[in-house]
Amino acid sequence: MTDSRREPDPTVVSPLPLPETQMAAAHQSATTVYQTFGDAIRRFCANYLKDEAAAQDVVQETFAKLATAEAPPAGELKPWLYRVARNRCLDLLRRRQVSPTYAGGMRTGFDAAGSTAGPGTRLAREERQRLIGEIIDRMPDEYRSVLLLKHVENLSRAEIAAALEISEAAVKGRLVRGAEYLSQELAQITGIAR
Amino acid sequence: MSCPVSRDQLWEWVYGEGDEHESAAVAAHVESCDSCRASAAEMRALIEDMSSLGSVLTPAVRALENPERIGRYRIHR
Repeated sequence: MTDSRREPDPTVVSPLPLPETQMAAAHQSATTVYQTFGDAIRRFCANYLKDEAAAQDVVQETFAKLATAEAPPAGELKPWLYRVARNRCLDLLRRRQVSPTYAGGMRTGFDAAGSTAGPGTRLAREERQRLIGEIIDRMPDEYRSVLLLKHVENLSRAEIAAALEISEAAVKGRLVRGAEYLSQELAQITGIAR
Repeated sequence: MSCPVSRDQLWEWVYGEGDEHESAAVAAHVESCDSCRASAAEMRALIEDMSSLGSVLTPAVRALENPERIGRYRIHR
């Protein structure tokens, strides 16, 4: 556990109204952690959910869970936050899959990509990035989670392992297979033969 | 397509995740194999693209940055 959690900077937050001393310490430390990791966790959730309001809700729930935890989470805090947030996002995504009300809002495919990019066409960087984003959205989560944590969130291999509760060797394996999956899908969509 | 180096090995090498002995062998092979060199370049480009995905994936999130309060707490910056 980091020192910053035990000794929150008292100048960064003013509780309204002032809670009991112990609760105040817990809440202040959670708030300090929020200032450090809040934006990153929200980005991570938004990448999962494609819904900024829902992402913000998950962030609030994640940090509320931290603030109300009876004991500090075991291990590093950063992977713990990603773990709690991802689990919540996956819950919400599963619920969406069985809920017909969300069907209209779900991504339906690669849109016009196939028609705008014929075989051999050199894609503009922007279009290529958009395609990569879409492939990552649709790929199995065992790959998506590792690629997002590695390349967008810049977590270390050890942090990814802790966040996903898998071994570092498994992280390496998923990274390689996920990257290859992306490569194959991209080649297929853009019509570039390997 | 009879390369001794698989694409998985190539990815590990590009990611810097292979063990020392294997990495040296892959590096030596790539040096003399046009096909693998091209594949490795393509992998590096893909990694670079993934690393700059943040803003592409979540263009709408920016509006939420810098909240002024969390629940009943006000944040002073």
